[in-house]
Amino acid sequence: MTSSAPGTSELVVSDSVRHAARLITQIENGVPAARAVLAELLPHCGSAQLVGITGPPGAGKSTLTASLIKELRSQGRSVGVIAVDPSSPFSMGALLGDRDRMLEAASGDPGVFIRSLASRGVPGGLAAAVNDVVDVMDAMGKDVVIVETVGVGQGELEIAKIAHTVVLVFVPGYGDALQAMKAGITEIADVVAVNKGDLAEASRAVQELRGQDYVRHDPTADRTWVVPVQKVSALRNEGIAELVGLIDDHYRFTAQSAWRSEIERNRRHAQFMAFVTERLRAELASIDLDAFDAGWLRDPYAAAEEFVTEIVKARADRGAVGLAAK
Amino acid sequence: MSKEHIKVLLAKKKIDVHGRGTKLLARELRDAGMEVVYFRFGVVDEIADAAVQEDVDVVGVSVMTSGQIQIARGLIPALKARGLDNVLVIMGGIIPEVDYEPLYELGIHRCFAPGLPGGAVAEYIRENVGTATLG
Repeated sequence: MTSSAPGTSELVVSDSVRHAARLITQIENGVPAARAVLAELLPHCGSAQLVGITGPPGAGKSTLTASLIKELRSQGRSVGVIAVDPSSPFSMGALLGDRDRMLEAASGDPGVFIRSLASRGVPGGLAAAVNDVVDVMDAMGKDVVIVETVGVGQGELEIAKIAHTVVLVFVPGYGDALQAMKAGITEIADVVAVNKGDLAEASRAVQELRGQDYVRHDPTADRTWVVPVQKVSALRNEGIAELVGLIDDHYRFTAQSAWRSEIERNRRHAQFMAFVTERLRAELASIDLDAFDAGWLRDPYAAAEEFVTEIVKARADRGAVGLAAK
Repeated sequence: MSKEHIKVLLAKKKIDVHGRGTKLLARELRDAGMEVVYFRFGVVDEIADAAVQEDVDVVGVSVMTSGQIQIARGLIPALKARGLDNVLVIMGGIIPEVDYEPLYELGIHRCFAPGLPGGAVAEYIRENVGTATLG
């Protein structure tokens, strides 16, 4: 594998699409060598604005993303897009169709990098991979990184948490106010976009959603963000500049307190958790069964507890670097 | 070479309305466990750009309204220029058999005629992915 050779991180930072793309494949496949490159990329990360796009299938997320790309490019901002589509739980195959909708917005433009990812049926694993891919695009120097997910299921919520700003895409006729009140999805939205604004029912949907008075509470300060509801038509390119304005407003809002750094901290913590989990699993799997005492595994529960306690105790004895004292 | 996740870019001409074959194939490859990026292209550089960004193992081009020679002539150098020298490149659709040899000389690895039994393309991909070069 050439990608783990010295120089990969420099090439990624210098915006080499080929090397970035291969690194992303390694991240997807959980190749350990990718970690070393990611670590080298880290000093170059932190300047990208992260936007999550989520919503029910068919809401027009990809078409809306294409409109956002066009608007951002017209403002001179470079864009990375991570488009996630589901894998079949039966064949593990996937049809990744998001790129097709974004073609006109991105064609021949070196300022746009679109990557489709299949969910591969591991929600936790996918969120971890997306987190790392965000770092790759950030290190490449993309001003804005958009993560587009299928807005169904718990794993998607995890991915949405990666973003500085989560845009929830609704469509008119999706359901009445009760649908929008159901737990889960609306609780992560920072901005709501009602797509297909060219349809007659759109104004009513906007009214109903505004009537919900969605707010987000700043987890780090005593203030709230009122979730704006914007009517857009990706098809007619209406309301798109306004939507970008709202996304930027929210981005600035999170910087006025510790909110944004809290999001960053959560991202890094998620990466830490994912890495520890993966490394420990690999270490454990490499221990030969015969290495275990004959009787020790007779009670796997107690054995596991003892095993973990030992590791934690060893860290505590050394003074547990990195953890705040309780 | 066997690969756990084979990624295929399936490209079809944007101005070409004959999309059934490509969609059928996309579904077939998906059901064979592959990750298929489906998209429509205007010019061959768009195929090459997509292939490098998606880091695919296979590029498949559907040609229903002629132009296969011109596409191959542009596509192979465009892929190589982007460092994709070990990608498998296949073509399908309405391609006269007399064009197969010239296409292979230009660097296309295999052309598929209409009416093949289901699974033929997936089988070919699985057997040849990772071994092909664009010499």
